[in-house]
Amino acid sequence: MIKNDHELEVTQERILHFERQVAQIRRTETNTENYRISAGGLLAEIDRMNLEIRDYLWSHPAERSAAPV
Amino acid sequence: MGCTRKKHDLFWKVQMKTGARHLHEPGLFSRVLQIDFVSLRRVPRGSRQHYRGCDWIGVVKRTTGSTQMKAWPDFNECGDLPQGVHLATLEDVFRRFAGTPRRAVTARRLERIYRLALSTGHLGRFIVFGSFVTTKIEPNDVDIFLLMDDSFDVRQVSPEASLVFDHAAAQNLLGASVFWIRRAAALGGEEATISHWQLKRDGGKRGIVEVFGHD
Repeated sequence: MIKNDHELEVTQERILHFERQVAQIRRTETNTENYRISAGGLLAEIDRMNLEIRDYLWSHPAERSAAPV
Repeated sequence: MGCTRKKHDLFWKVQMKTGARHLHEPGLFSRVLQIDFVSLRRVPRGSRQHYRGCDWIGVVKRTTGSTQMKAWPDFNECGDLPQGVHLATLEDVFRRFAGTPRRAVTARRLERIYRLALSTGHLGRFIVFGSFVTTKIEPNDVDIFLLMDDSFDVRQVSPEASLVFDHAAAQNLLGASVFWIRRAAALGGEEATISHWQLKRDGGKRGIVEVFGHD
């Protein structure tokens, strides 16, 4: 779970890196099945991180500071 | 934590530059060894970076004395290995990270995945990252990144081994989060791609482990 804005930025940068990696696989992979399966894991990780970002952005900072630890 | 092996008891992979009289694999052996070769082959030009610029790779069976494996470094205050890629055999990983019943189960899963990846004949590098290689008492699962040779074709592997390369299947059936690419797709080069897996949620870095012991 993302705890603060700094972790939000790190997660956004990680997503960008993963997207660039998938694009690189797409450029270099000539075997369609290799591409789908190789990219699949990275795309799943992108989905997971995007969900974390959505959960973090959904809450207002005041709600987060009031949440029980 | 390290281990001392007597001569004759194992085969080791070593690397050398052309013309070297003695062999030294940085990070694996703690000192220069004199050895007998079982086999010797030239490193393909495209793989030199992986073998740290060495020209030859050999398998050896005898040394003039005992060989001291590199000791595991201490964990830092965050419970992480120091930054870097730490070379280790599967046996060393077990010694260091399989210390609780839960971890032993995870380590056996790791070993299964390693054997399956190795069975393809195209495993380039096997990287373990995430909470399993930290002091976390009960890591959820094990995170693995595989760099496969460019000749790897997922359609050619056995049904069981194919589970390793399907992220969802590996998660559900092998208990691991597995990512893989072929060497040609390494963004920024092999070392940069591997190094990226050191990144933590807070932007810091922690050490990761490369399982060593295969060609």
